[in-house]
Amino acid sequence: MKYLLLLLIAFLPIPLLSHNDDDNMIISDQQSTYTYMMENNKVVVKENQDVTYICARNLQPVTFYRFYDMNSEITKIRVKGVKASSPRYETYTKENIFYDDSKVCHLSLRFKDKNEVGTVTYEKKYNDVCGFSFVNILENHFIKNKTIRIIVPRWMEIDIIENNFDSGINKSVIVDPKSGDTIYTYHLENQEAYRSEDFMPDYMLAFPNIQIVPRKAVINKRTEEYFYSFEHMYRWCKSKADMTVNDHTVIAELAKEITKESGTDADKINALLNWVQNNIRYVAFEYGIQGFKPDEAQAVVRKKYGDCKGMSNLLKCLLLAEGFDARLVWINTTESGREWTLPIPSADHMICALNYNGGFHFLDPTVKFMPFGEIAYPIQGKMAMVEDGDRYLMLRTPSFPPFHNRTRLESEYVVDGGKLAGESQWSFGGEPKYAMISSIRYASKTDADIYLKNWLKSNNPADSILEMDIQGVETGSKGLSISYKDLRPSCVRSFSDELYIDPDVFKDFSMLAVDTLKRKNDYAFPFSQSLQSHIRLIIPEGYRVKDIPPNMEIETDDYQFSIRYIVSDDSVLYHKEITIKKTMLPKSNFRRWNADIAMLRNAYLRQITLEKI
Amino acid sequence: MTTKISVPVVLLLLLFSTGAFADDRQAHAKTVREMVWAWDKPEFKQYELPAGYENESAVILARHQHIEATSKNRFRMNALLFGDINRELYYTNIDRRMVKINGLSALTEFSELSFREETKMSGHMRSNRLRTIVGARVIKPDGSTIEVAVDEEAVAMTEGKKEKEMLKKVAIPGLQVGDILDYFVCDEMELETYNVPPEIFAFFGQYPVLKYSIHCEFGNKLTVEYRSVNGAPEMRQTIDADNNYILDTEAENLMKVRALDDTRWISPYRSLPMIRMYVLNNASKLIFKSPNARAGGVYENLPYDEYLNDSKTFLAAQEKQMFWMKEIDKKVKKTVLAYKDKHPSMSDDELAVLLYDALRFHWPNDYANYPRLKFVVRLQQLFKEHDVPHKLLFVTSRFGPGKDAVVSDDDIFAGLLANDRQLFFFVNGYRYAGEIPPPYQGEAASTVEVVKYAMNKKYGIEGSAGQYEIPESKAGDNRLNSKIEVSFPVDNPLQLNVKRDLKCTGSMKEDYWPLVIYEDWDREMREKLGIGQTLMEELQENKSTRKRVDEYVSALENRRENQKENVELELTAYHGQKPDKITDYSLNAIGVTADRPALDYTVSYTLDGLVKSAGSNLILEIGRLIGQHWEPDELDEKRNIEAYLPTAMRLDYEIEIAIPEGYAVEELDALTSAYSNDCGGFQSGYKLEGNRLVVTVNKLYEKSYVPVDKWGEMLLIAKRTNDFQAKTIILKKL
Repeated sequence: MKYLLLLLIAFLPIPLLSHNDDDNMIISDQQSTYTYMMENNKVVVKENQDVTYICARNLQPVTFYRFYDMNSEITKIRVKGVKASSPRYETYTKENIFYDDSKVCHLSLRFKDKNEVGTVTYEKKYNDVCGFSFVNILENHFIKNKTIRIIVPRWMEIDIIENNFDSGINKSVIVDPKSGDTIYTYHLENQEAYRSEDFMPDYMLAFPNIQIVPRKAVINKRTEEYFYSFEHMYRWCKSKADMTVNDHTVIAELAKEITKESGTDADKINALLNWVQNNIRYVAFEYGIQGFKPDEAQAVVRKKYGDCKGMSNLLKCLLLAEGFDARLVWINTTESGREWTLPIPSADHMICALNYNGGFHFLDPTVKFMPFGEIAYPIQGKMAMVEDGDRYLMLRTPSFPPFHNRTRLESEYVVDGGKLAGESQWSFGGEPKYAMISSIRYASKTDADIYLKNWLKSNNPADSILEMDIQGVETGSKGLSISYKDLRPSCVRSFSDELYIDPDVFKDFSMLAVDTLKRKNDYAFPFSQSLQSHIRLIIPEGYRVKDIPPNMEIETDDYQFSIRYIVSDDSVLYHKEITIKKTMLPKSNFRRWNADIAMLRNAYLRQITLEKI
Repeated sequence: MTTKISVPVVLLLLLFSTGAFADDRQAHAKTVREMVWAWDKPEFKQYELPAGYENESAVILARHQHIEATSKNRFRMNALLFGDINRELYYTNIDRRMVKINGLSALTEFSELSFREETKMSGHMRSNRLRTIVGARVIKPDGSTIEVAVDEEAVAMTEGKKEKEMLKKVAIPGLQVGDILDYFVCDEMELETYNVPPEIFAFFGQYPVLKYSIHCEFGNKLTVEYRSVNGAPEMRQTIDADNNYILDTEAENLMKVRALDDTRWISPYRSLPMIRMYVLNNASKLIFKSPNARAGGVYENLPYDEYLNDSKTFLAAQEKQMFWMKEIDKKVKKTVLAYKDKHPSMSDDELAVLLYDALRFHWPNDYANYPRLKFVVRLQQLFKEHDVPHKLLFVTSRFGPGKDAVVSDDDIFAGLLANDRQLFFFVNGYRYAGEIPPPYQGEAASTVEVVKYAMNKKYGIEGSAGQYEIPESKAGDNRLNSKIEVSFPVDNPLQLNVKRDLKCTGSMKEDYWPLVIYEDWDREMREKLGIGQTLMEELQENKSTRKRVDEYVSALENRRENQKENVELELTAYHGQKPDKITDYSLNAIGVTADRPALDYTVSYTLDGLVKSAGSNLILEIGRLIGQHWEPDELDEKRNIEAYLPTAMRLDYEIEIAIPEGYAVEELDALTSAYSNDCGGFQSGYKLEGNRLVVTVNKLYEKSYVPVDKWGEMLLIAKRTNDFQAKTIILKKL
């Protein structure tokens, strides 16, 4: 999982380092060369870069940074033309990773005059040929001119895959008649700067990049194969997993203890999955071989923590012990931003597969509150490499419709002394359920109560939430519900003989207009989802409906917003439905989206009018 | 045959036998762990969680701190490779806690430990090492104990080209909800040119603490000064067989508080129980200290005057260190003389303001080389030079310990009193000359009329001493006056046009300081001081700054860009939502000079979400136009800690609504409210004149200090404000 991590962080938002304003600085020229070389009977890759900056507008310091890890080193970094701070070599700490070997080398260029030119010359060596698998095209600054060369000697065989290329990138391939080296050259001009924003698509999916698959090398007449095919890659991944020596006796005893009260197979599977979820905390180690080799099952049991590999390996062993056919699975999450089309060990996650009842079921013990039968959105619909002895199976994980990630509110209110009074119940499924249970379970009882009440009041301090009851926060729960009584003076206005009722305090999505002046990237929702509100208002005696807001219905291929009012003799039913069908909202749809959000907002602002009979 | 090894070789062997050192370290760590786990303290054997704590995420069942500092003679090579004998101070601080993990949040919080195993600290001619040893064990509900093999389990975070170890991290193995984590952190130092780090023993916590005890052993050459405040227990003093000072104390069921960062209006040093302790190595010649420094011994509750004298000596020491002042002095002199030429008949008060403004304006932003004390000394010298009657002033902060609770000269701040009524302090935000920072208001300050700085004397400054009661500002001095004009666009009455014009004085300006940019401050100060030259002209004049003009221009440009973003942030914070569009904004005054003390800010924008439609009628959520105000939560309602507001405050809003043609407003009486109590109040009213509805709102915090028994009154003021925030008016379609 480690290569991908390092590869990804090169493009992830780095708040500390990537504060450069893209308008201020221009990369006037960037020459990047990657050369495969032989060193002590081993293939290494040398990277040379000359990056020339011109200060275009503002004299703020520019941070130059490059990442490396235990399999690579920065061998030279020099600055010419401008003053610069000394390079600093630091551990790059990432959220949710307890320990890994990602490092960053960074320095600050200090420009004093507009149009001043500064050049950073930088050299890096990849000591492991597999570590060089990716070249990014964009930078944090506007690029006037950039050339990338990949020099591949005759004895080296690689595959190059270009992703998201547009017409602005020219490619040529020549063979040097003297050396026989194949030289791949990419040239681009006038490329906009990459800007990191919240909820943006992953770099790999949306921005131009080059992937490199090392196939094989002939070293002193000996052929060394890397990732020549999926079989090779599987063997490589499997060899790392096979380094784990599990103590099956210890695990079998544990499995027996866990399942001692389980009657059916389903009970046993649930019991084992829930035990790992409940008892093992997720602690990510991505250091050296630990990036690929699962920790021993008995060690995870002893430590009560593990990363995805350790937790999945333990679950596999527990299931095996109970006679199930369980396997390890290598998979790319949505965050990795890629489909598994290339035979490179790009998986950033490991889960467990259960071959049961004629089909494979996927179990992810790292998601604490997810029951058997569900999988988290980031691994839905992905190609999964499932171990199968010496061979492998490439299976696609199931996808769930937006309704799987559902949030539903049901309320019934009467008008009582200038306020709505009633009972409500929220129910959650899928991703909103996992998030809500986490918020509740990871807070103290007092904090959770305050947090939930504030959320339910929805910025209306005069409203009251009473007798709150939460069901389904335990691991393995199929659904979460929050029931309560609510008194909502904020929803009723009276004037003369009329009452104005606002049935919906939550007004979901009303603030989700996109700032088209600032936003540079497409908008990526974290998951598809469905929100429903079903609110019944009992018409008070002596009143009748005078005015009902018009229904609203917007449906596109990407989303649906709907608000409907159904009036009966004694009640008005407010039914709201918001569905995000596709998670990617492209820039080209922003205008339409904003207009639809404005309509939704407008619909929220319309009140039910009741009048005295 | 014997082989002779030369002395340098032995030294080299010693220096580079790191493996042996590592083994020593591990053996020593093992000894420390064994010693700590063997402590004979019954509270660390009590694993049962008493009833009533089930809903707490974590409970500290027991905590004990063991601090030892004893001195020994030792031969050491100094940086110049001369050997000398010096008295070294060995310091050990072991802090052990036994925590019941009751929930996932506590499990997350306590499941990882990180520490620096060794840190090198540079000192005067020598360097010292700080070593940290960590021990941890997990006690399962059945009473079984699993000791964490920290040395094996810990991973090292490295940095630098040479991958130097910076930090160690341990994920506690075996820890689960329901377990007890028993862990300690032991810091050990060989201090020569340092004092023992100051210690605050806090008798409060975010989690319940059932038992907390402290044991200290200090060598008799050390100077131990401490004070127990706000209900913390007293320490028992004894002397052991080696003549070491022994201090002990303990407490049960400590006060539980919410996170201090989340607690509104708190002054922890004045409200929360704690013992503050300074253990000073005053016997060491290598430590810079006041001539008033106390000799070895234990001193509890030393009088304020001791620390005042310390402060005076440190201030006096600055007088001999006024380096790199020539350029500043030249500029100040030029500014003052030019101003005096133009204003020959200035009053004493005006002269004091001029001198402060000139020095403040020309004082470099480099506060490391140009610190607070230097500023005070130079201002005093300027006052003296220009015959402004003045005294040095020493004051405590309302947000630090009071006069009766100081334990260090760091608790006392220096300033100047001029003409017996004007107060001047070091640069502190965008305040004007003579404006008293809220932390010093209402404090009883000490003064001294300087005759001579005497850094080698215990009293520090020769001159007659006195007292000065710093006045406390009234609510009217700290005022936010907000005029809000609201209109409904004809084409879209659901989107309001809003213009807010704010005038702030006193502490109410502080919220708007992020909108002030240096350029505006510089321009206003130049105008005030009569400096004709602009910043750019001044930079062009000087050879060394000329080449940095572009840098300055772009920096100023950046600040202006940021100002736009800060205006949006201010509006977002005010309404709890982003404005639809900001059409205009300006800072008409920034409140940095005594003749223009108020900050005046105007912003115009469009906003939706505050108007709803009901058939053909409109509903305006008028209460939300006063912005977001404090909404007390359950923890606020249960608060049992007194409140320290920055100052008394008054917030006035005048909301003028242009009723659109074809609409009428009626039944407005709900907008009228009046509530007041000893702490302040909330009032609102309205008047309707033709198509103009003017709603006036006034919120008052009359006191800057609210005792616990009056806290309920603050909640009621907040409640009345929240009630108003929920008010709406109906615009009836005619």
